[in-house]
Amino acid sequence: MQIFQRSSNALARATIFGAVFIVAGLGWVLMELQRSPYVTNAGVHKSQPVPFSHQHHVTGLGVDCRYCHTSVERSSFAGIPPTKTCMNCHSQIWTNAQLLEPVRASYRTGESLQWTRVNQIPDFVYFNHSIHVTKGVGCNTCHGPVNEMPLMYQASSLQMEWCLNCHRAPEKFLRPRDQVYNMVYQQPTSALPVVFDGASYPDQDSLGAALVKKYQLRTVQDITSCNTCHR
Amino acid sequence: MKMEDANRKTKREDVCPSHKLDRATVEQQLAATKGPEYWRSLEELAGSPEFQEMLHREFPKGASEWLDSVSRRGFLQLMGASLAMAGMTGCTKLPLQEIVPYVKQPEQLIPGRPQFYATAFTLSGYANPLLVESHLGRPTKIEGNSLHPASLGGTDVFAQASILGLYDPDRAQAMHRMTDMDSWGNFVKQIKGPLAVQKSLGGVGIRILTQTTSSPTLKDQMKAFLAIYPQAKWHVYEPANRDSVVEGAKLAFGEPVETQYRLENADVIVSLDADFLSAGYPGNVRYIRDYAKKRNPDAPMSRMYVIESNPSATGAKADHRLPLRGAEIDGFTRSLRDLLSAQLNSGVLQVGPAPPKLNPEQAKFAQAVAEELSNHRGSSVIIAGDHQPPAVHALAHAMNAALGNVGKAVVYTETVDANPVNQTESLRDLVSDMHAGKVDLLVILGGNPAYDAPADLGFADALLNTNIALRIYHGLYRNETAELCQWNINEAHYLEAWSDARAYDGTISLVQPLIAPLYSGKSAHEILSTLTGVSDAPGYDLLRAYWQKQHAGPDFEAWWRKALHDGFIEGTAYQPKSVSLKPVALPAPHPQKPAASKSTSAAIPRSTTASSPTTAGCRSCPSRCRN
Repeated sequence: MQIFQRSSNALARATIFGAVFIVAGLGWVLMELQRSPYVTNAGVHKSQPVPFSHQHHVTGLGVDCRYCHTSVERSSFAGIPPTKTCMNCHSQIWTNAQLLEPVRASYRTGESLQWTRVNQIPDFVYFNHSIHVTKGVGCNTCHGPVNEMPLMYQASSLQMEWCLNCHRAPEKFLRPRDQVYNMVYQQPTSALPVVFDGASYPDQDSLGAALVKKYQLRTVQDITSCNTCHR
Repeated sequence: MKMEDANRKTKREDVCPSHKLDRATVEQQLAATKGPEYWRSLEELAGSPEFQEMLHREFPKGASEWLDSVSRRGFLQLMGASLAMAGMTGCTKLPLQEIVPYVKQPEQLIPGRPQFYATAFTLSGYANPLLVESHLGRPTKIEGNSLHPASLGGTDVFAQASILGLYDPDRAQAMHRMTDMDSWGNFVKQIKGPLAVQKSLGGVGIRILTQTTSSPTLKDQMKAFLAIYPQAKWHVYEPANRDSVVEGAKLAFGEPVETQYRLENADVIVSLDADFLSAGYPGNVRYIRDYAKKRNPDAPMSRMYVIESNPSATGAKADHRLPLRGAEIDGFTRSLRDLLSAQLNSGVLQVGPAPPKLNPEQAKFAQAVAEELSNHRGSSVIIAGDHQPPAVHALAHAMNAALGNVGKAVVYTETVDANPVNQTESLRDLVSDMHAGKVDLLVILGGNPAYDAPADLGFADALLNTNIALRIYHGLYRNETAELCQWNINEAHYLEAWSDARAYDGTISLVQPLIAPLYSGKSAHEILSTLTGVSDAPGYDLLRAYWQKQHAGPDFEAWWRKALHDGFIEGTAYQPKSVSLKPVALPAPHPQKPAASKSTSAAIPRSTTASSPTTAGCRSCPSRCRN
């Protein structure tokens, strides 16, 4: 009296042999899921009270990053502008636009605008903007092409492996300090070298090495130690 | 299962045996013992059978033994699975977070970087200068104000802890009238009637009870108040007050003076139960610095002799320390006076009965101290502890004067206290007025006298039973005193209010708020202003108006901003003043048991000389005496 069909033999052999591959496959699926935009929110447009367009304001009007994000050079938090910053212009232009009604209402009533945080890292990580900006990390290196975003999204995964990518080799990503806020900066090529400190650099390796020295970056061992970020 | 049922039936008395102990039983038991008898709880002393049983059980009655059916294997499986799954908590999506900026961001405020504002924390009326760190408008950490001469950037434990009082959830969060919440506007309306009645009577029924204060603004407000109500009285009371210091100064100089020490000029420091290096002693933060200056091993170091009754930080730093019971220090000081007189060949406040004889160890110590002091005339200092009786203070003043220390290691100035009275007497006067029915309007500004006044005075009873028509309490908490008063006005914490105070050296320190009152609290200045008839003046205006009077001139704005920035008004430290010793008869020392070489203390029974006439005076003496 057989309970199992003949095919069960083959299935049993396949799964016993393939157990390792099945587990590995499952593991791979989980790891890919964990890196996916579903989990990291990279590329996801989050809803905001006002559909603020960086593309219009930065590329269209030429407003510098620091006009609104004022504390990026001096504080860990870059700063979201207070309603008054918006009203600096919008009390004079587009004064009756329907889109801007929440801003005017906020200014009128004294209730702050509640923006949804786009670039978000967990609370157990300490991130300080001012040190990155001072050492020559450009805005769009981490935040992506913000000047081309009609609506803001998180351009990178902001996961630890992504941060370590740069922290293990900062010379691959640095740029001169005066180019930090330049959204269309290109890393040097032999055709278009970058001039820094009186010398011309035809590639990122040489420029990066010079920048690491000039800006006195700490060693890779220092900046990849645990308590640099997990304080 | 049987054991569980038994546990459920357990009554509280079985678990915690509360044996009815009374003094007679205990005395009986102790009388029978020879030698020292130690116990850790009253139950142990009682030696009740329940206690013996509790001592011998392995598990107290309340704890049950584990007879569950979960096996070891099952337990390990569960724990192992939990440990493995625990790591999975990391695999989450970040929840949506909001960023809520200002509508109009204040100038000079960088989110992420703290700001610092100068203010001062008052303890017993003395100002401790501070810089308080503020994050986005919320005070978070207390630091010292290095510009201020009275602290040079140090803070003590009370100042550090004071920020917790601001965020204390038990604070009074609303004004109350009887049991209902009420409003400031209503209070202002309701107080008008009784005040008008009192005005026609010259304020004869008004009493204001405050704690020790050094605030010049408050002093000025009280002066204005007493000008409108001349018969009203201002009482001062605080539980851990400095009555002995005031009385000691009056005994020695005829007037209350502030004693300031310049420890960087002292080569020999003798402390008579004075814990001047610890928090709570006026000026301790500065004294610590000055004392430390003379403790450089590469330079001539000072030497400190401490005679004290409790282990303290000052005693721990002493080069030589003599432990004495608190009550014996008076006798020791008199003996020291005699020895010092012999060394200096002059009489130092000679009048008084002979002190009790010291035992050989104490006599040797006293002789050494006397010799040291006489070898360092002009560069030594004797500091008497706040709780020692006035006689000890007077003797310390006399000895310092005889040694020529005045003007060098010790200076005398005007009192920091705005109203230096004997506070126990002040409270006693108030209570007797209450019992005589003379009080119709009582305003208690701060403190908790119903809880911490001396029990003999019966302040709580007087407050409750003497039919005072209107009782107003102003404080941070709805405490025992607040419950007995009709109006409870919640106080603005010092981190929320404008005020001023003097530091131990007299420097005027400004108290600047770091946050608007969290619960619409009011400061004492605002209450006094209402009582004098101006009800809506905020504390800032009152303070500014007072200082505008003091510093009239076209440069007031700049001067005011600088004072607020620094946290103090420069140049307001008291100048030393010259005082002269009065020849006066010292009161007799406390009756002592004859000094034994090893004091054995039978802890519960007090001395049975209760019938001696001088001990009746014990109750009236302001000093804390341990027999």
